[in-house]
Amino acid sequence: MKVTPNDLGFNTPENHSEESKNKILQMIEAETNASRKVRFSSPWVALSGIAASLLFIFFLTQINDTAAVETGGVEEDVFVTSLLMETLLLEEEELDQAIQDALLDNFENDLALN
Amino acid sequence: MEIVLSSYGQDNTMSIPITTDFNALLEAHHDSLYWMIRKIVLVHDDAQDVLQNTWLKIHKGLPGFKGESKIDTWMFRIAYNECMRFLKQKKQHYRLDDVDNSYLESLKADSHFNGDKGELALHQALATLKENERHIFGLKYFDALKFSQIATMIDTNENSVKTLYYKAEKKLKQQLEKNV
Repeated sequence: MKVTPNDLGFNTPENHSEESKNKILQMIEAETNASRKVRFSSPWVALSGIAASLLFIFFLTQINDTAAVETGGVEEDVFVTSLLMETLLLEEEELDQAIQDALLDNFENDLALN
Repeated sequence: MEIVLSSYGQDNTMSIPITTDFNALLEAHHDSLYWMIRKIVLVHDDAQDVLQNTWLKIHKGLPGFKGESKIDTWMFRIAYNECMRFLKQKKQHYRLDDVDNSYLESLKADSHFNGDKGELALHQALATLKENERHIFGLKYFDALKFSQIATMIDTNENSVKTLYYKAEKKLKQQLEKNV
């Protein structure tokens, strides 16, 4: 003879079967609704992400352009460059002398031009 | 609640996908799954939690069910896996030998257990079995599942299941005779 669950001394609350089935159906419904919400909202999340990325890239490009324009605006000072080239290998005293001469020449040139 | 299954039947001869009514499935198998789970986890509230998780998984997995086994075997397997997960989490794995106290303590603590002396003696004898022997014995004797179904459920071969069942049956008889 087979032993039934009741013969093992197990019992359940009243109406357990029906209440449990209803609870399970409610849980499944809730889970289905939750996953549906996630599915609906996910395209908007993705679109927002893409838009934010595009804005960020656009912003970065603008900054780089501004920096390039600013760099291009710097003009070379011919006097300083040629002075540096000429005095690169000179000793300290010779260097002072060369600077003095160069400044004097530059001053005379400016006078002459004016 | 209708769900379209991805399979085309066990024999792969049907030309249209199977549609199953989830409510009908719940109606037909709710109680058998509950009792199977209850006999493994013992306490009603725990069995109810495991049962709910089992049905959520069945609902989620149903569209991908390939029909490689019978649907009830597939559901029992999910339930069994959920039981094992629960027992592992609760660290309620029973000792291999001798009477395991946690088994009987769980029973006595459950307000939905009202076993008399004879029923307690049966549980006492069941508690002396190894965990896998007890599960296989329960699935075969109380739930009346086929050896092949049990083998599919616990992912082993049929002969091992038979060996464990007969071993458990012999041990149980000896234990009950000893107690009488």
